[in-house]
This record gives sequence, C-alpha cells and structure tokens, in this order.
Amino acid sequence: MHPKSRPLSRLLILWVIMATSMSAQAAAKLHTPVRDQEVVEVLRERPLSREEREWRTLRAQARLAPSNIALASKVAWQALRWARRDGDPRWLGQAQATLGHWWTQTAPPADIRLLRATILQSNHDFDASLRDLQAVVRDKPGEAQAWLTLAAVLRVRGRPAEALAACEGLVRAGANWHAEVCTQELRGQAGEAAHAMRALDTLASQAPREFRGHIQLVRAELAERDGKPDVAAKLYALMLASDEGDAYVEGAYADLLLDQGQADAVIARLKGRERNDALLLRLAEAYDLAGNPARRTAVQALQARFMAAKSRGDRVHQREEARFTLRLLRQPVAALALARSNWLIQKEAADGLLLVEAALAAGQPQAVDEVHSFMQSVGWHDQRLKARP
Amino acid sequence: MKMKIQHLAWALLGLWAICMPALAHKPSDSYLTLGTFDSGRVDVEWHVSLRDIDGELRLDVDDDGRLTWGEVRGRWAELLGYMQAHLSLSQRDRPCALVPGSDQPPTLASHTDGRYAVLRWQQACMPTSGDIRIDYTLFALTDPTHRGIVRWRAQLPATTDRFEEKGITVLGGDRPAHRLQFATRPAPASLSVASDAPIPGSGLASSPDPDTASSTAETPPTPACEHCFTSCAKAWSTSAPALTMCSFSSPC
Repeated sequence: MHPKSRPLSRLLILWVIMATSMSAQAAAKLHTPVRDQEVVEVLRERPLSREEREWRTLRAQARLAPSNIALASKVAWQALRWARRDGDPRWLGQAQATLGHWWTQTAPPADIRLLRATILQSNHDFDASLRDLQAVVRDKPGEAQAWLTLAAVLRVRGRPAEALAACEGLVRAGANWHAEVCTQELRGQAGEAAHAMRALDTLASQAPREFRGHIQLVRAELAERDGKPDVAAKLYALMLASDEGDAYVEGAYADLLLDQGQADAVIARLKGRERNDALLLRLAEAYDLAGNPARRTAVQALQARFMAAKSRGDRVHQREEARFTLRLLRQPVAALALARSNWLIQKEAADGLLLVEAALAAGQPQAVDEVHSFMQSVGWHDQRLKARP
Repeated sequence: MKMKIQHLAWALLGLWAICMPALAHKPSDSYLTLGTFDSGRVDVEWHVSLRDIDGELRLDVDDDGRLTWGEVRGRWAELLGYMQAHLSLSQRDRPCALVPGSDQPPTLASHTDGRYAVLRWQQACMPTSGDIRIDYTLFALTDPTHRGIVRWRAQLPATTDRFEEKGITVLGGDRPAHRLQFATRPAPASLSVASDAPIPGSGLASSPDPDTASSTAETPPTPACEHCFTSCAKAWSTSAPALTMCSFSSPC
C-alpha cells in the first residue's frame, strides 16, 4: 500500500469502529419487565454446582492473598478448565485477574508462567506464549503440561519439527501416553496417516479412560485429513453421544455434515446453542444451505458479534470472520484478506483450507500456491487440499 | 500414583484448549455514552451485562442460573452504587459531582449476547473548565479483559436536545483513563477526544506515527487538535459528515 494512503485506511477502520459501536448501542432496545418473575437472563442451563460455589470461595481467598502461588494456581486452572468447557472468554479474564500480581513480570515463578502462557495462547498471542513455555521447560523440564502446550502451540504455528521435539520432552517428563498421542498426531499430519491411525487405535484401547476423548478427536481429525470423512463422522458422533464431546467436537462434526450437505442434521443439533459464536456460524451456514428464513437473524447476530469484537480490537475471530464473510456475506475478496491475515497467525488444516476456498472464490489462485508451498516445506499432507486445484 | 494420574489428566487441558477457538463467546464489554452540555452537565448512560454484574454482585441469589427481574430490580440501588464507584469524571483533579436524584428507573437493554442493565444519571462538571477526565475501573480487578466502549456526544450549539457525535474510545485493561478535551471557545462544538495511551488492539497509538506526523507537519502550531479535527472532518464530509475521529490517531 502506498504510504500516503495509510492515514485514510486508518480512518476507514476508525469509521467502521465508530459506526458499529454506535449502531450497537443505538440498536439495543430498552425493555422494562413488568413482572418480577420474568426471567431476564439465563446465566447457566443448570443451577450453580458445588464446585463452582467452592471456586468462588477460593477466588475470594485468593483476592485477599494476591501473591499466594498455590491459591492463585488453583483458582486460575479451574477457570481455564471452564473456559475450555464453555468457550467463554470471561473465564480467561478471571484466570488472568488471579495472576495479576505476576502478570507483567518478566520471569514469574514457573507455575505462574505456565498459566500465563496458557492464557496467552488462548488469546492467540502465540509468540508471547512460546517465550513463556520455552522458559518453563528450560527451568522445569519435568513439567509435562508445559511440553504439551508447547507442542500444541508450535503445531498451530506450523513448526512441526520443533513440535516433535516438544513431544519428546513429554517422554522425559514421564507423560508417556501424551507423548505418544502428540507424536502420532504429528506423524499423521506428515503423511503417515495409516500408521498413525493404527497406533492411535491401539492407544485408545489401552489408555486410561480420561485420555480416550482426546485420542478419538485426534483420530477423527486425522481421518478427515486422510480423506475419510465417514470414519471421522462416526468418531465425532460417538464422542458426542458419550461425555467426550464438547463445543469444539460439535463444531467439527457440524463442519463435516455441512460438507456433506446435511444442513437439516446441523440445524437439529445446533439450534439452542446460539450463544456460542462458533456454533452459531455453523447454524447460519446450515440455514443458508437449507434456504431456511432463520438465516437472516443468524447472520445479523453474527455480524453484530464480529463488529463488537472489532470495536474492542479483538483479532481472535479472524478464522470465523473470514468464513462468515466468504460463505454468508459472499464477499470473497474481503474474506481472502481475512483468511490471509489469519493464516499468518494460525496454520491448522482449517486455516489452510479456508484460505484456498477464499482464494479460489476471489479468483486469486496465487494464495492457493502459498498454502501448497507451505505444506510442502513442512512436509504436511492433506487429501482435502489435493482434491482442490 | 493417583497424584500422577491427576497431573496427567491436567495436562490434557493444554492440547484441548489449543484446538478450540478460545473466544467462542463474545467477551465482556460495556457500552457507555456520555453526552456533554455547554452548561457542564454530563448525561451518563451505561449498559452493563447482567452476566458480568452477577459475577461480581451475585444477583442470582437462589443460584438457579436464571436471573429474574425481581432479583435484578431488588438490588438496583446497590448495582447503581457499584457502577458509580467504578466510573469517575473529573476536571483538573476535581470530581464532577453526581446530580442528586438524577438517576433513572431500572430498565434493561438487549444486546447481541444477552440482557444488559441500563444505568442513567447526570453529573455536573464546570462549563468551561477544560478537559474532562474519565477513569474507568469496572471489573478491573476481576476481569482485566473487560472493556468499556465509550461514546462521546456533545450538545450542538444553540440547541437543547441535539447532539454531535464526537468519538468512540475503548477503555479498560492497561488503558483505564482518558481525557475528553475541550478546544478553545467559541469555536462551535469543538470537542475532540485526546488519547493518552494506545487503543488496545486497534493498531493505533496516541504517539504520532510517521504518516500522521507528516500529515500534521504543515499544521500551524496551535491549536493542533483543531487542525486534526478539521482535516478529518473534510476527509469524511461526503460519507459521514457527523463522524470526526481524527483525534484517535492524531498527536493532539
């Protein structure tokens, strides 16, 4: 871009921020309920659990002792567990608040640094997260969690050789099951899908029960990469029928069903789960595919959410926003810009596939080459990409 | 051995968490509108998510997960006091006083991610005492990722109920304070927003970047803000005449 045009583009961004924020406020309808019994907000679909009540007590204690590492760790890990369960970033904020005493320190204690890295990676601040994780494994090589998160972040960043080294760190930390799953997942991505699937199959039958959900997810994703959607569908459905599925699995299954044109099945599964942005996106795509008039409301809601995220400067939703812009707003050029910017940060299969889809729709096939040459350079294989030009 | 297994089970968190888009839900935001009048009066309208308020004040007293209007309405005075304690408007280190009895009856607003409490009151600043400083500390200790999206509006000259949009700024996290700057009177509606820290995540900073600096290099030395204001108003005169957001990226 010509340097002189930058201020104008900044103004454009600001105009969008202002216009969207204003419309967010202006669009909010005021409502004064008449009856005291009227339910004005559903906070949870269930009463407060004993665990949550205990956590609140712990959090209060941690606030009184803000430099207590053990207390802060306990509160923050639990908040992170719930962030994963609910997909609600408020839990990440709660975890970060608990670490307030150490948050800006250059080298906080290893336990705290690991928590900080986990929060940073959840907010897609991968470089800062990697710095923390590398420091933790250097200072505390027996910390299995740090190796595992390190491997995962490196994989997402498209650095498989280093990720594999982190999987080996898991062996040294005594976490053999995790090391094996970690290694097989990377081998599967590197073109040894059949071998990895067999190894994971054996692992699934031998590993303790709490490991199985994750192993099944890795198998399902590998099957998809290997061009076997039916195998993947079966695995997703099994996970969701048991207690091993969560919102992530639900989203992955919905993607697969959408690819197969099963919009009605997606609508049946995801109706009522609209508070989750990722699931609402799939639901909107299903409405679109089915020609369902509910598409309009779903698209409007998504648009409002992406705008709200923009007004606060969030960039975590780029993958979803690119997909929304491409498939629902049908603006391939804008979608390609988003997909490309997302690809700079994340290099998972979904990110590459989306970039290819946007590039083809926008008539700019050079972006397809970018994905292919990256895959080649790291030795990753994906049958779905081969199926496209 | 059990400890070891538990520890390993913990480790599962990492792999799963990385797979899942962390922010599958909209994060915590509040929407604050400040309407300034020539008389120094400031009308405050603040929309704050009931979900967030519940996290602090535990409105859902029976813990059934369903917040009723009775549960909210019955705690309204406490809620208002809590919010007012986390928003401070001041001029030259002197607080703009709350106008007694100016708060409005309880009501709610529907935003994209649920219902919000709508808190409305007035504060009295001095008519011509210069900048209004806003200090925003809502949820600062419990959720540093919370943001307040603040919209400034100013009374149009010679009107009583018409406003001109002055700008939006995002507060919270490492940017808790902000100044609303009044340029020299009697220039009509010459408010501008002055940044004293970067806008989080927007890629914009208050310090002049080379491009902005070059565009303001030809500016008469004073008042710099008015110049920015004028140039931006021109830039947008065809598409959005009421929106003047230059001050965000200006070195004013």
